[in-house]
Amino acid sequence: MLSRGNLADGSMATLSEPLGSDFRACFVGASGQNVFFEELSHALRAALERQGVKTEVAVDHFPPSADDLVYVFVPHEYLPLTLPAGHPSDVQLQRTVVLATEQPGTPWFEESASVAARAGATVDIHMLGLDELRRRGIPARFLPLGYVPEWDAWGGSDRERPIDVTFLGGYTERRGLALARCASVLSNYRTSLRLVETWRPHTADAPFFLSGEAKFRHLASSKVVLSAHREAYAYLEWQRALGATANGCVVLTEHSSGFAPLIPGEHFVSVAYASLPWALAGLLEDDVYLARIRSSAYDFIRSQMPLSESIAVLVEAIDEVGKQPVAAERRRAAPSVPAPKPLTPPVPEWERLQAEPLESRVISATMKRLVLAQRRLERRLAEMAVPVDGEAVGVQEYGPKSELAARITVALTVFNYAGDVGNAIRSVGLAAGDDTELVVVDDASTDESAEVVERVLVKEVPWLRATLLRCARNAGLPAARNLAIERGSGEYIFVLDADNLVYPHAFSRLREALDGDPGAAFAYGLLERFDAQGPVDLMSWIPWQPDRFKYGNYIDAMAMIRRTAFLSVGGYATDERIYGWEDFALWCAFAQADMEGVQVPEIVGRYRAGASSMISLTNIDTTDAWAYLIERFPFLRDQSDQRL
Amino acid sequence: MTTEQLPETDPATSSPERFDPTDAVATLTASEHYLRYVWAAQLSKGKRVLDAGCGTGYGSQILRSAGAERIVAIDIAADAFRGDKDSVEFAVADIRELPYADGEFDIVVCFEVIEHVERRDQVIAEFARVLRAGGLLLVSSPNRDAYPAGNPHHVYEYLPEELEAEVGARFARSVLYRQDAWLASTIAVRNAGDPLDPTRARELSVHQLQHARDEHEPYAIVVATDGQLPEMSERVMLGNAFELQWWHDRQARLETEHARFETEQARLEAEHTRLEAEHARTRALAAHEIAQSREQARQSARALIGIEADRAKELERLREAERELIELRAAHHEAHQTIQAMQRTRIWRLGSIYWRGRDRLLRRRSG
Repeated sequence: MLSRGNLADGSMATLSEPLGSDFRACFVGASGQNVFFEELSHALRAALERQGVKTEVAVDHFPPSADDLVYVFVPHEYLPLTLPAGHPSDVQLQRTVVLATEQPGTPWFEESASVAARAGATVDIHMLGLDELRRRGIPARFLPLGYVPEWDAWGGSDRERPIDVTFLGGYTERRGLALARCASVLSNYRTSLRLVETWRPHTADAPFFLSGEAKFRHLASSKVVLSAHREAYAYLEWQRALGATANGCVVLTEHSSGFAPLIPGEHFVSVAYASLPWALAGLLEDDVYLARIRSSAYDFIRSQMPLSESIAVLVEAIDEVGKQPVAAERRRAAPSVPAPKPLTPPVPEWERLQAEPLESRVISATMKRLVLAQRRLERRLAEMAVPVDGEAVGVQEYGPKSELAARITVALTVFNYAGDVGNAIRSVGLAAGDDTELVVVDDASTDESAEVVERVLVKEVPWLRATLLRCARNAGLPAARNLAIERGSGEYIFVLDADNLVYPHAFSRLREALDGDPGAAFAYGLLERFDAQGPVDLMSWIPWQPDRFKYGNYIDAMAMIRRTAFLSVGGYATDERIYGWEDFALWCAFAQADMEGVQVPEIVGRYRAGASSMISLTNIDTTDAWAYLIERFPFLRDQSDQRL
Repeated sequence: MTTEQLPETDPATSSPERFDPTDAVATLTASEHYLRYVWAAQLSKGKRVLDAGCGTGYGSQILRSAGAERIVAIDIAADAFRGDKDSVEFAVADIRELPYADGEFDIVVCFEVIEHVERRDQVIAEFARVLRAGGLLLVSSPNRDAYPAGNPHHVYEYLPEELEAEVGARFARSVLYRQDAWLASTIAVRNAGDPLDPTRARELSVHQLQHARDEHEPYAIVVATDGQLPEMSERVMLGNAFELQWWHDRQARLETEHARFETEQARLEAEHTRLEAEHARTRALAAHEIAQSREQARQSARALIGIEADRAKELERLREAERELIELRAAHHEAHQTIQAMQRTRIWRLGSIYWRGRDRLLRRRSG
């Protein structure tokens, strides 16, 4: 292994003279560019330096031309993120090697191709992109990416891999669905599913975004990395695949194009989109097979495709561009200075609402008021119809009596969910340990809900410690939740709605997160959204970023909350203006008080899709609800996005 | 007395472990408690006596009846005393801090109390202080080696010699008495008749069939003084008649019960073993099934991955073929264009007229 390592890492340096070059390669990047490209340019620069080619970096500008200077840049990652003053002149473009990384058929490829047509030289890291560029008459070179020693945090040892499955990538619905379909398989394993939003580039400093050394270490601790494409048809994302392979993390991807010289089934696993869950289930039970792919892929990229060899293509391109005489440049109006383009942040929801035409807002607000009034009347009528004598709340206890105080209280509220509540309780029964208690509040259901709860508790999950509180009058969801929480004694509270479910590992993983982070007010995991046909999408996948609440809620109520934190902000607000948004208000209250949420990168529960009547009621007109939130939580109105 | 009437008390659980003569009419415990006071009472005539830790006060009353000039009974608990407060002076007091003047008493009696308290040396010092010069101290304690262990109310139980050493250290003279329990048999003309008075002595000659169990007596009593030690007669207190039938029935009952428990235990143990075996079998079955389904998942995933790998290669070839097809079509298109352009030239048109004429001529000739 070691001798081959030497061969791969420094074959040029040890076995033959470094290629060398008369030119300096200046890698031009934008300060706001994706950290992904920084990684790529870092690897290329390291490989060039090993070949004796001097490299440097310029940020947000093209330094003045010089006889020995050649620029290297990725057009679609640079031009949209800088002002025209920072763009290359035609003369500078003549002395530029364009690095093409995008897939034909995307706007990014077009941008890249149009710049490449005017540039001194072009190298493409994909065979398909290369073909397309050549077809258009652009003389491009193929620079296959390969093994990069800087990306290898593993080194081929027999180390433990505590994470079974990793996912790193931008969220798209297609990827959300792929992961949701894998949820039940994943619930048996340790996972680290890290999704980010794609509407803005991710620079290296975001705390939840793994990059560089941390990312490679993460991959070296993972058995399998799951990959689904943004779009239906795509080619292999080489940088991703090589980063994983260099760290012994087996790539499981849906079918992609341009994977040669890697062999599917030998160096990575390629299956149809729909087969991902089955392949994953089998792979995770097959350490022998995983080990085989791991080592054959690692050996292959190190011996057959080291970047230290293919980098010769870039050296050649740099030489070719550099040898052309520097054309006399027309004097520029201004000297070359960094010109980053400030990001225009999206409009916060509150501002957007205010910009809406007044009339439509008045109509929907009136409608909402009417519906609310009707609701109040209905509730009054129901109260009058049911004569309440004696206890307003009936209490019944089930399951084993334990002297041990519960650490986790599962607060389950039911209102007319006789059809689903049984499944919710069964799922709690499978997830609950000895330190878990269930408190069910039946909020005066008019169907069989309470009877179903009782039957399931007695017959099906007799080992579960549980209390059933039966309210004589309907109090509404937030009040019912508060009642359940008040009744329970657990230091941690898990909130569950009657139509949702938890996976068996849910409580232990969330508890682990809260135990490990005493400063965190609550912990939440990803959720699989499902309907009658099966999995649909993911929820609660956005990592904790307080200022993200300006654009709406992104964390479902199904979370584990520290009781002290819950009480310190006064529990769930019962104001009717925010019916259905109580969880949103709770998270905002935590954010306002500078308390933190912690995301567990695993799918811990199932959320039944289908508009709940209460949420849709609030959504008739959100102005009221936002006004309530803005009034209490001023941070939602702040201009800066520092905590985003 | 019938078997049902025999009282059974457990001093360890009757809190706060205070001997109450109304609870235990004539048990061994009652005999032991009464005897200590009746024995001490032979000294109390005309004396000023302190009963330290008097409890319900039954003992103070005995000392009083024996002709004490003054009897002071103290206890830490205000509600303990149930005696006659006219003949006995009752006070609530801590035996570690006696609210009495130096030399105020001729005799201090402290039975079965010292083992309940901390700072026992201070207790003895206090007793010495309130005794007149040459006064008498009588202290008892359960014997640690003989008394049933585990009484939660006892802070410290003495060994007899230990008690004597500790008390004797403060006085010029001391003597250790040992109190024991015996099985006894009596012969009398009439066994019943007179009203019962435990303080009145019956004249009996006591014979002994066995040696005393030296050092295994459950109680030790130390008498100490700076003056002359008094002559004290040995005493016996007869409690209940030993009811053979009762003991016999009781033992039989216990034995039956024990046998029943043993059967039940054996049954439960068998059930437990059976359940454990069943559990183990179920677990093994489940493990087997899980292993099997895992193996199946492995196998089918390997098959799936194999097929899918072929499919991936196939798809790639298909894409290449598509690209080639596009290239061929482009080439074809180009060739077609060239041909069309060629066909539009004058020379081609003239040539084609010539060739057509020639063909027609040849056909006519051959035909």
